[in-house]
Amino acid sequence: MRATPDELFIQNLEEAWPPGALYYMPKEQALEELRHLTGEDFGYDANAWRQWFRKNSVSRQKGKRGK
Amino acid sequence: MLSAIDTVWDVVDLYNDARDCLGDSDSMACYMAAAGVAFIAMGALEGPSNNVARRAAKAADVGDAAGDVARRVDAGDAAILRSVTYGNQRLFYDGARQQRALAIAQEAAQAAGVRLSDYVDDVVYTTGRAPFFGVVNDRRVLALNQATLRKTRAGQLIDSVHELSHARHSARFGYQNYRSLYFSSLSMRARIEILVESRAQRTVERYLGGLSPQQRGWTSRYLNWWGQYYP
Repeated sequence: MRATPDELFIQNLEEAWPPGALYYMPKEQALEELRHLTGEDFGYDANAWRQWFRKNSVSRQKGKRGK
Repeated sequence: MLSAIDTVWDVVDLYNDARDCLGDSDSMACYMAAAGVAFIAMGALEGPSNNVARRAAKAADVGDAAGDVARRVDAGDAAILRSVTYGNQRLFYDGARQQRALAIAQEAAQAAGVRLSDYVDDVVYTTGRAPFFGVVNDRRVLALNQATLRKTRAGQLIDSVHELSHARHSARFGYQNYRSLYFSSLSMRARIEILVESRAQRTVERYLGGLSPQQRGWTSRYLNWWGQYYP
């Protein structure tokens, strides 16, 4: 999948991938990864996560990974 | 013995990937990524031979897109799959967009100097947010989406060669081994993504005789995104 790391996690929040797919992870794990990556918590609200990443894209590219 | 031979060839293949990267402005990062993948792959591949792993992987993935076959067309004894639901996406096995996806994938294989059918059984159009490679209903699928179809020719080829590289790695390692490797850690995912994207960029650049600064910028941005997760 040609997608950014955050998008990979968000897609798993949305259950875009079935179990067994190359890019599948349980949505609970995806949420944990997103929390760890950003230090934020928007629960399973994929749009809220996408919005956060759009707003924070500059700092993300500079390597600020949160907690 | 077979397992050992296969493993050696897998490592050779990955080092070839690394060699392929030489000449890139970011060649060292790419080389290190390839070396890291090869090192960990050696551990991951200890055990059953790749052929056994491939068979097991195929068996394990049967039913990924379980049921929900939208339409089947009888063609003699065989039933042709027209579209399936895959997670929250719809995969189309025919239609105008699928035909465009197929043409792009075929040109990507030509650019990469490989035969598409060696690595991919079906090229599909997906309604999903990203192009991908996977095994669906026991068949190796390369999926391109609307975003890919809207790109320039170079962008389309890079997307497609990127997924074809995943398919080639999957063929080498066995799908489940590759999946395990991919999800072993975020940094491993980053290594793999950097590797396949760098390879895609170089392949398409060679094939087209160059890339526009804009196209290079898009690829660099992708590499930078993943690069921050690469130790």
